[in-house]
Amino acid sequence: MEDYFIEYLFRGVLESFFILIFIWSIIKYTDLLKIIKNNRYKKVILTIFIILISAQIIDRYQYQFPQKYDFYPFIRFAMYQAAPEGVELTSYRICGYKKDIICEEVNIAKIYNTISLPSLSSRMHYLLQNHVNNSEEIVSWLKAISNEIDESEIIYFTFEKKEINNLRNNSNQYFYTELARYFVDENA
Amino acid sequence: MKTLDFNFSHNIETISKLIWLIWLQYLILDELYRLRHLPYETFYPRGIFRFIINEQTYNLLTNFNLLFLFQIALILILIINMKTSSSRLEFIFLVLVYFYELFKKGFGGHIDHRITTLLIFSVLFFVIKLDNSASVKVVLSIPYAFFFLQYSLIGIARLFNGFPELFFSEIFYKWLIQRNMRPKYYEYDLNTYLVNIDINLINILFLAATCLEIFAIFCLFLKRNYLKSYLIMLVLFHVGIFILMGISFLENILIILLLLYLTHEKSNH
Repeated sequence: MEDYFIEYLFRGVLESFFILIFIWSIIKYTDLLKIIKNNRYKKVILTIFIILISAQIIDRYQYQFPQKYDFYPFIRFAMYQAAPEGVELTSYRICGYKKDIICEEVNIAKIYNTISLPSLSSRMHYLLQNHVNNSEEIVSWLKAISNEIDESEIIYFTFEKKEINNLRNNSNQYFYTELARYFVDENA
Repeated sequence: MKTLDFNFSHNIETISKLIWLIWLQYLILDELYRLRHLPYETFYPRGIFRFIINEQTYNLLTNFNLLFLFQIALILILIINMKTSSSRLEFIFLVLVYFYELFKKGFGGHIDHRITTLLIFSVLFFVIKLDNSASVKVVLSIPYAFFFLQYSLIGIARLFNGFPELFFSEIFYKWLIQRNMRPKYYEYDLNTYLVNIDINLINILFLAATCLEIFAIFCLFLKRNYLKSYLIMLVLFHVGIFILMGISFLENILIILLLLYLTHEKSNH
C-alpha cells in the first residue's frame, strides 16, 4: 500500500501539473477569460473557478469515509479513477423475513433514492467493511427501514454480505452472510 | 477559439426558466421525507453542518415534518420565481438548496456529483446574469464552461491515476459486476449477461467513454452540428451509465438537452 501511495502521489502531482497546463491553454487559446472579464461580477466568477480548480487538485480524500474535511459544494470531480487494491466482488442486501424464513429483499436504493445511489452505496460499503465496529448504526438503518415498510408480517430484518460464486465459471450465483439483525418486535 | 460561436434565438429569461424547471422536477420527484425515520447515529454532518447541527437540531429537523416543509418551501420559491424572475428569490433559493443538499449528504459515504453539478452550474448562471449587459452567449458560456470542464477533469483524473491498468485489465469489468450486485433503482440483474461478456469490449467502451469525457471541453468551441452530435453522445453516455450501473445523472442529461434545444432552435431560422 505504501508503494502505491508514492505512485499515487506521483500521479497526482503529474495530474495537477497537467490540469494547470490544460487551464492555461484554455485561457490562452480561447476567448473564455475575455468573456469573464467583461462581466461586472468577474471577481466572483474567477473566484469560483479558482476554488473549483484548487479543490480538483487538493481534495484527494473524497471517497474516504468518514471524510474529515470537505469543501462542499466544491469537490474533486473524479470517479472510477483507480483500484490499487483490486475490486472485491462483494456487496450487500437487506432482507425482511416472515415466518417462512425466505428473504424478501428490500430495495434500499429505491427507498432512499433521495440520498443518491453512489453515495448510499459507498456508505453501505463502509458499513459492510466495518460492520463489527458499526453494528449499532446498521441496526439503526434496519430499524428505519422497518418503519418505512408497511409490512406487519415481517419478524426481523437483516443486513447481509453478498458475494458472487466463482466468476470464472461465468456464474452469477450469489451467496450471503448475515452481519446484523433487527427484530421488529423487540420482545420476539 | 471562440466560445459558443453562434446566435441563440431565446432570451435570458426563457433560458433561466428552463434551468429552474430542471430544479423543479428534481425537487418534486425527490423523496426527502423518507429520511424522517433515520436517527442521528446514521447522520454524518458535512461542511458547515459539522458546526451547526447537533442531535437536538437534527431531531428537530427530522421530526415535525420540517424536512417536508423545507422541500415545499423550495418548490414554492421556484414557482413564484417562474412568475416574477426575481434575483433576490433566486439567491434565497440557491442558499437554501445548498443546505438542503448538505443535509442529504450526511447519509452518504461520499459526496457525489449529481446535484453538485447542477448547483454550481446554477450559481454561475445566476452570478453572470446579474450583469444586465450580459448577452445570451455570455450567460450560457460560463456555466457550460464549468459543465464541460467537469467532464474533462473526471476523464483527466482517470487517465492520470488509472492508466494503463484500468483500461487493460479486469478492473472495469469487475466494477460493472460489483455495481450490479448492489441494490439499485431498477431491480433487474444485468449480471446474468455481464458475466459472459467479452472483457475487451467492456474495456474499449470504457476507454471511449473516458475520451468522450476528456474532450468534452471542446464542446464549447465546436460548430453547431458537431456540437449537437457531441451532446447526443453525452446523453447516450449517461443513459449507458444508468443501464449498466444504475447510476442516474438525470440533471446532467437535462442540462445537455437544454443546450441541444437552444442550439437546435436557431438552426430552424
